[in-house]
Amino acid sequence: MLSHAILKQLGLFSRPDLLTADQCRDWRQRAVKAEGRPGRVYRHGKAYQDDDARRTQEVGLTPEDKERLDAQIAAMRPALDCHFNMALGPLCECRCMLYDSGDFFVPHYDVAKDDGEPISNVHKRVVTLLIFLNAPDDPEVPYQGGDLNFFGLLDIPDSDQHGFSLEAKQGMVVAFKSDVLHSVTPIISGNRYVIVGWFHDQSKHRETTHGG
Amino acid sequence: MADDQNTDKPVRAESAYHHPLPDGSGLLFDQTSQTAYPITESARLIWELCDGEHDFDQIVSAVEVKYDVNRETAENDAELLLADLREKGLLADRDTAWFFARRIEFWIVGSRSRRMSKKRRR
Repeated sequence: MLSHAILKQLGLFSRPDLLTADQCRDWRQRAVKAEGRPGRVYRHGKAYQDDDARRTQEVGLTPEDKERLDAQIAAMRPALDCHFNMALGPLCECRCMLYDSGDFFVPHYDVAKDDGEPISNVHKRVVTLLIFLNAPDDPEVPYQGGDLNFFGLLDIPDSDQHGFSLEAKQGMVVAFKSDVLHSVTPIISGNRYVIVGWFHDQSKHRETTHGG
Repeated sequence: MADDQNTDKPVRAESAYHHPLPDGSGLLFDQTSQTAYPITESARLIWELCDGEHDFDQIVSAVEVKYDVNRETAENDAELLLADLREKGLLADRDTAWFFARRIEFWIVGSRSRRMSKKRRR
């Protein structure tokens, strides 16, 4: 596990305490109450369920929730723009992810390469933003497993084979370029809650045909 | 400091890779153990000089000059780091380094003598 200072130098952005314990609890309660659907993967122009690649439930945010989230991340937006050296637009496709025992997400990219298919949201993503609503050492809702691993960060042979995990903290935000290979290891016990959203490349104006 | 260490020319292990970081420090990654070790800027200098060409004294001199520290401090730092790198398997062991050095020497000497005998034949 590498320190946050080093991960920052490898291109990751993190803030340890964006949300308070109360705010995290509130988001978790909202997510549990809402009706979720299985997370999907995007391949060859289509988004579909693939339990061998990804197992998680995702809950969309209501417009009010989205507004609240935007307010909560507003203060750190200049730092985000500065870190990624671009003026990031609105945070899009926001959702809450619930990982139950056994759930996981194999190594993947969040952005689809231009594959000749009509441009979708998945093609537009440039930066992924993730907020941990609980952590393995959480006093209320701890979990085991569910490590967020990043691959290909080092300029070494077979770099995509070597993953570095991030130490999750409740309320912590992490942002990274959407073309960074990453994974979530299987949950051994407990439940893992995160909010995820993406900043889109504003220059991609072609019509959106697919969700994420 | 033992004499053999003064004349020893440390060599990086084949499984070890260096990734420089923007602040001048770096990460050493060992493919065998799949472990990354953060190193400071001065450790990075020492690591870069572990090329089988520089002996301990030359490495210490480089640290002394670059960081404007006294000889004793530079020696202690280099000694500690090299011992740590050896312990982590990031340096080729001395026998392996010697073996490769001899192989290179053999190859160079061999190719020179082959060229000489070709000339003589002409």
